[in-house]
Amino acid sequence: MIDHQPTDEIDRRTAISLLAAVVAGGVILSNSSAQATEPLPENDEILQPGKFPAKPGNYLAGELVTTDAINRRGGLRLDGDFNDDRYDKAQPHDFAMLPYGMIYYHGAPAELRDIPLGTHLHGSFYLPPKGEEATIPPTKGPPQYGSKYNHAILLEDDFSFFQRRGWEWRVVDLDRGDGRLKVAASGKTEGVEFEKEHSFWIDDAKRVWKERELLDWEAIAADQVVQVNLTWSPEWRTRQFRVCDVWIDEVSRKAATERQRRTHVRFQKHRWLAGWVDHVEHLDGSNGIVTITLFGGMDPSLYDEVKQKRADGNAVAVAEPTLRTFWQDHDHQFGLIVELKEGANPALGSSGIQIRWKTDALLDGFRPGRIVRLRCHDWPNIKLPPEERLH
Amino acid sequence: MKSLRIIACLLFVFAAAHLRADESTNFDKVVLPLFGKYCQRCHDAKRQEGEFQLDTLSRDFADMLVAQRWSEVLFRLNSGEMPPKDEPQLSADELERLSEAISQQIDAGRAARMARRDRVTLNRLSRDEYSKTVYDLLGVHFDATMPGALNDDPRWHGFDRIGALLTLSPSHVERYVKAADTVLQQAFPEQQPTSAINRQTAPAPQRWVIYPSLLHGQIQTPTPGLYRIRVQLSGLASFKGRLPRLSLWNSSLKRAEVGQDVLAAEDAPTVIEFESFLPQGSFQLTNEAPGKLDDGPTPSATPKLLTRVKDYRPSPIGYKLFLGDGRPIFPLLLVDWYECEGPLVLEADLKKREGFFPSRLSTRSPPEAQELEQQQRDARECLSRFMARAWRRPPTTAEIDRFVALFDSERQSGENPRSAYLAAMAGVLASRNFYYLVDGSADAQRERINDWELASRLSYFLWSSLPDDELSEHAARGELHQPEVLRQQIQRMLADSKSSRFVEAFPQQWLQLHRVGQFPPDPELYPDYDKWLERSMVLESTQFFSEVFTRNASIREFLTSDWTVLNARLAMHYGMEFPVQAGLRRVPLTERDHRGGLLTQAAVLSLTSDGTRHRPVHRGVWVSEAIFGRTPPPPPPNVEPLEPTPSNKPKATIRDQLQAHATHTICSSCHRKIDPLGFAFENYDAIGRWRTTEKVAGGLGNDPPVFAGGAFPDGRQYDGPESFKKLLAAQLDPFAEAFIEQLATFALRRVMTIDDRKQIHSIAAASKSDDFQLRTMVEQLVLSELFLKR
Repeated sequence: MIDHQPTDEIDRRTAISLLAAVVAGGVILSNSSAQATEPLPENDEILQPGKFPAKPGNYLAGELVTTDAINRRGGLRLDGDFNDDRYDKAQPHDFAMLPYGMIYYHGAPAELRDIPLGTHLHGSFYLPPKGEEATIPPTKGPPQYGSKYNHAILLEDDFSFFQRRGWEWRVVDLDRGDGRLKVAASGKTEGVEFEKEHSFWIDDAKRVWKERELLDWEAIAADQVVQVNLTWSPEWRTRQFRVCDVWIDEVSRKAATERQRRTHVRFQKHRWLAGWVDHVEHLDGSNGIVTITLFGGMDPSLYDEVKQKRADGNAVAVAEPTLRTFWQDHDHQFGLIVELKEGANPALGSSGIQIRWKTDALLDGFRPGRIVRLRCHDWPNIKLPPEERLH
Repeated sequence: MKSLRIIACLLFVFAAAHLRADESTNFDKVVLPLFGKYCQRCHDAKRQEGEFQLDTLSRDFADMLVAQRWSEVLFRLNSGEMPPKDEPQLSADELERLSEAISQQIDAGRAARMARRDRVTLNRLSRDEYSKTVYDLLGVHFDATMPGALNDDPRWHGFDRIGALLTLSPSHVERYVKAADTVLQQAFPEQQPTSAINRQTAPAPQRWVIYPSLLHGQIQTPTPGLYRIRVQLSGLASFKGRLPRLSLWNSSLKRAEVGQDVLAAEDAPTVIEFESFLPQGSFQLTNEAPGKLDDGPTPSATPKLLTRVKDYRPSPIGYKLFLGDGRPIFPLLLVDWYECEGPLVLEADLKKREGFFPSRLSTRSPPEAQELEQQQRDARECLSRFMARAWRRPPTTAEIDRFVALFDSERQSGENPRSAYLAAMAGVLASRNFYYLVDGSADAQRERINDWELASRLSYFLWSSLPDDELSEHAARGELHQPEVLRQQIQRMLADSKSSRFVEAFPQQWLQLHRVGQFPPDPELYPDYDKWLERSMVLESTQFFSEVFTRNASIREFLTSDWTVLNARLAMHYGMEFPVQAGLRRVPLTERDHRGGLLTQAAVLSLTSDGTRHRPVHRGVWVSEAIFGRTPPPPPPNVEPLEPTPSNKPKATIRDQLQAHATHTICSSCHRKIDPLGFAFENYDAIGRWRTTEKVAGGLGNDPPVFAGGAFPDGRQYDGPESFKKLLAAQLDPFAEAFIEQLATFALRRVMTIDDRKQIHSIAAASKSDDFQLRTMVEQLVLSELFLKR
């Protein structure tokens, strides 16, 4: 099985960034580690079409405030940094998902449309790839408060971000009167260890999940191991958040993940798996063999289906970097996977699965670096709604 | 047909008796002893097992009922039913000799029946001959293959002009009447259609892009007739060297009417011109080059206009037409304009009709008496001329009277003179004297054809049509049968452009090229196969024949040659170097090309395949028939087909499987003679491509290597197609005789019999001193007694 999750390298990078940010925010209840505050070198790699990034991206976190789900774009209100002027004037950080950009929500692969506005997200970002410099217009606010890293390879909610790294929150105390939930964070990653207490805002709007039920205050008790999702609070300038969801047991967490996983699988079967063209072999006549690398971040069951059903043929439709297709239900071509290779250590953004797909009529969009989407023969071949189609 | 034939029993009895006498020796030597050894004990007068007695079974194989009984005997032997399992069994060798001896007798009997000559012999024109006759008679193009035109003709070993098979049914008569009407309406229209030129031009500076299978534009033909289509365009070869092919697509019949490869640079367009007879209807331009570009709505997303290739801005979901460097992926046509002119009426065609239609037919009704008399005289004169030309002989007065009476009767019943006259003409064309070639006399038994009959026989042999004026004049003077006149006429006729009809029709029928594409190759197995390749295959064989004919080369070239005739498409199929250029050309061959002669041409190699795999046995049968003039016995019924290689067994070639199959006594008796003639071509797959291994679906291991070695039935060994062909060419006499037999079958419209063997041998012998040059053989045949006899 391929590990479709971000690599240890990016984990370490983001963990350090997170700790650095939290320390700077001053919400840690005990002393922090001095080593975590060292500045990290920025990655100014210019991405090329047809090549996955060589190095991890730059960590940014914030609350999702705008979404253009169809075009996989959005805006984050970046976490506060105690700067009053920034608090007054900074504009949201607009971003675009890279075509191979991955999103996780409730511990499962997701799309931007799955994530409610106001959800606090962690992300990994790059400079605009070559040819995409104008995709995100310059910020209208003071330029010093924007970030030049506006193409995301990874977005995760807190649930996904912490759980996937094996980090947990243990309930220390719940103060309903003050509206504070005190938790102790515990976790471990390479080179970083911490056992710190945090205090989040909490109020009547929160949702408490136990097993498959939605409960209330009474269900929260000290020493419970929980995961939380965070949202906006008026004190965001000092990087304070309010809890919107608390999962107080393992069953509830697994249920949330499974629900999102199913949503994701249904969505992908309707929109098909994205990848890009590595190479095109032009045979005689209209025939050709297109080498395609499938992007990462999908549920493993989808890749398994590609492998298991390859003998029945696959449809491939041309897409754009936003992953939108044309009239995919009839603008695709059908063909057969003549070879499937699986790499052991795929690059970030790649599934590691590379196929050679033979068709008897090549489309103009089948060119190296271009995005395509692939359907197994028995996945729905539907016409997408007009707003999703390119024309 | 039976009703149209006059039975001449005496001749039949003579032929049958002759047949018995000639073949009886072999029958006595082979069949009777084996019957005595294995069969007689149960099927004698005493026991008559199954109520069947062999010793009294007639040997008059020319009798259909007798032949059927012998076929039953052959069937029981070949199927292993006889002798019964608990009786002594025939060895493979004995069974082979017995089957062959009986088969020979059955075949000879069938040939005698098919060649039976009564006092009057009626040989119906094939539909191809009908069309050509109508054209030469009236200058009207009549496409007899159009749906609803004339019925398809049955074939005998590829020949579609065998009189015994071309029977006549009410459906034929109905279609002849309809065809006559259609032809005459075109020849003598009430109003001569006006010719017009319609041109469509692309919105400059843009040009129309026509990629493979795209249909472009609209060309309307208001009436059937001759049209001239002109197109200014560039033709860009694909990056693989394939040429685009401009064709005119008949939207109604879903077929390409005319076409031509085009090669012209983007900045140096050329003008292509077709002149073709077209039926009334709607036509479009298309690019017939291969490429499956008709998939769903994708073509609608592919731009149909471009200004310059380098500026081409495609849609991502349109077909990919160009590589990144601008070279076309497909052969492309870039069209500036096209125009259609017609219908054209050529002076030469009008001249053909001269004198057939009275110039003074009045439409006044009723005409004055003097006018009426004049019309009758004119009608009689014109009808006489028309009948003489159409019937290829002078009509009798009684015959003329009959059609003049028809004209009168039509007119009296109220038809206008033009319609009445056309009705009489239609009667002439619907008469059996038109669509039958008649020889013999009802009142006497003739052994030789007369000069009129000779003129027709010669003309239909070399021109597939009626005699011209000069030939008719010689016939009228009664001098055509004179050798010096006949020789001079042969040379004149062979020099005439109409001899191209012989050059095309004869090889088509001799080599059975109508079978090419009869079982279209499976596109999954042979994705490279396309219609243009299929036509190119046939063109290679017919043009090869034409080249031998034009140069009057030896028929040895048919067996082995160091040249062939190719176009770019076929060269690509053969994997040979060929300049990217349009059209066919003669090319030299080397040994590594693995071609030369007819036997290793793609047409011949593919016509014996079944669409999924090559068939060595079919190839062997084809070689036996076309090269040796022998038809092997038919296979017994219920032969188990070859099974696909099981997945748990090593891959095996078709040859390996056949050899396992032929180990059975019953199978081996025939297969050991047929198969070696097909095994020599194991290096060629089902569509005639060279190979060294055979692609086998299923089974274990790699595809097995092919083995194309073997031995002729007489023991001569060969180790591949080249040595096989050389061995054939080393003994040319048998092939020459077989070839003469094929020529004579084509010319005389009947199956050759043992009666003809001596004369065939003489013709071959007379041609030998010229090393069997093709034209010489044709000439020797025409000058022979065989050609002149009925």
